[in-house]
Amino acid sequence: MYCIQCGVKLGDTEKKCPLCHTAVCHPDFMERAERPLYPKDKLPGNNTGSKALNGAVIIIFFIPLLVCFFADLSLDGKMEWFGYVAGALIVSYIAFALPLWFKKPNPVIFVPCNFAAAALYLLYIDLATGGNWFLPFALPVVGGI
Amino acid sequence: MVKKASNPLRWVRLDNAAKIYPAARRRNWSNVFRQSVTLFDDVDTGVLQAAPDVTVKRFPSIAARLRKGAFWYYLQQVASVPEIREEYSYPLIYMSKEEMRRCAFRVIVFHNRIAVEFFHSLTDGTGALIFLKNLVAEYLEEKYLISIPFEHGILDRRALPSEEELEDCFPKNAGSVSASRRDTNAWHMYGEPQRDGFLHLTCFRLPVKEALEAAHRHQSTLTVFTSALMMKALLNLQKEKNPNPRRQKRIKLLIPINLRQLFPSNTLRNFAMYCIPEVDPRLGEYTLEEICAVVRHKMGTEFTPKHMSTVIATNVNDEKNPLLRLVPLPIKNIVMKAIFDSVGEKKSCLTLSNLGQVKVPEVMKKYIQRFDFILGVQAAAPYNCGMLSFGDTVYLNFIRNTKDPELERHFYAVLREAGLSPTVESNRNER
Repeated sequence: MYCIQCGVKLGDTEKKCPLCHTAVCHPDFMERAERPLYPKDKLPGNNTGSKALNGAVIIIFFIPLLVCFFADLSLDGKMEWFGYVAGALIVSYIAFALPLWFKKPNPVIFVPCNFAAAALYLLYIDLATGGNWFLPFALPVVGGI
Repeated sequence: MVKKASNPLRWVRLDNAAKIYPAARRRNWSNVFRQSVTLFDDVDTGVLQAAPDVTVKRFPSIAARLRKGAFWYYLQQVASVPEIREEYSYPLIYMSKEEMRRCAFRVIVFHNRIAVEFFHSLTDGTGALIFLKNLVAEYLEEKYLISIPFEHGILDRRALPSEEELEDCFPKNAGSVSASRRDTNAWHMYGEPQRDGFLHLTCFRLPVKEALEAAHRHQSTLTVFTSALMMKALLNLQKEKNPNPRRQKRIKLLIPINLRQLFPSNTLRNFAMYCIPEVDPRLGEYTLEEICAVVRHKMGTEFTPKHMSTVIATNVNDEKNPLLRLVPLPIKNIVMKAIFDSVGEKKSCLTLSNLGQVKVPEVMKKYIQRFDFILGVQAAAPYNCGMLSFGDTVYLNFIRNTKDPELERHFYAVLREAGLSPTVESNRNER
């Protein structure tokens, strides 16, 4: 069997020319039961994303966290607003960076996780500021969506 | 250097050539090559699983795992045989550090093919071929109840491994004068990368008789002739990508050389060196005859015990450097990796490794259909090519990690011009 495009002689198992990708089609050779050289569509499983990228993202999130921690401490020796920053960073990490750890992030798992994280963050703000708006307003909004 | 401690598992130091490979590894690349044998009948995995048990004990330096010491890596014989693996859609799946720590080679079976993939620190192509032949001989003896004589690389597998086989032959053959490493850079091949790690395999099959006749017409051996064809294909490919000859780079080909042919040795460790013929396209068009002459003369001057001893001396002197020896392994790795990345692969476009004619005892012949030799791609360049001949066929296996088979097309065109008509196969299943 020869390729009709480039004229190369093809092995019996070829369905397309390896050199020019032209389909091998000849009505007399439709039923070719030859075994391919390698199994079809059998790729090694790889469930994790890039480790280096994830490491870099963690560092990117960690730098503002540390800066804010020391800034808050050095201003007047007390923790005042650091908790809000840390909470916001954690929520955004869960929303944007956590799915990178997986090759195929499942939205059924990750979307509720995001809402739960947002609800916890709002609860923290509510408790820290003594606002009393979490149960009547924030939880129904977050949970309802 | 082999020691036998209270632990019966043998360990050996990495030989001089093997030392660079663990350091040069990357997150998605390690220097692994494959040798496979295709039988006429389907492989009985039950019987095959028993065969490595015997083979593993006979080859303690090849059936080994890579372990870390404080200053160097070392190889330790594996206690038990790893599970036989199933074939994936492409050969030479990435071998991770964790896998090498467990076992630095794999046995893979697909219908009638037994393939073994080796991390290059274990052995070179010659040593690996002996291991594979013995594995297959053991399998055939058990399966078909035949008796295979100890010839053509088949060893007595019940005997103890000799010290000679486990020896690092580089230091004792190093000359007193060392060669300079200075060399020009080669053209760096590129192409649209295959993102998912898939490796495309393209095998060219040629009748030995026709190939040898064509080689003799050009006053060359098969290795020289194929290398010249490959360089011609590379010249044409570069010309297609970059038509301005003044901006073209040198075409260089790395041809591994089996040092066992020059220095008396029975080692099963790495004992190979290389020779890099080059042509400069800025000087004008090259005919196939001219390239053949370039390769032939380059190999003629360099493939001598005297010249090779100087090249070996350069590498052995580096290994003996007291400063390098004192540095702990992690730092050594950083230094060696930096050297490999800046120098290692820049000196050639690709490797064309010819194992030569594979010979097996007469009784084995009727069971064996073919042998294959497949190199992994280079760390930074997309191609490599392994070659051998068995029976009346030459098998040239191109491996690449880019989408378009550009070099294969040019190589095919060059083959046709030389009057050869190959049969082409691939691992592409309508991808």
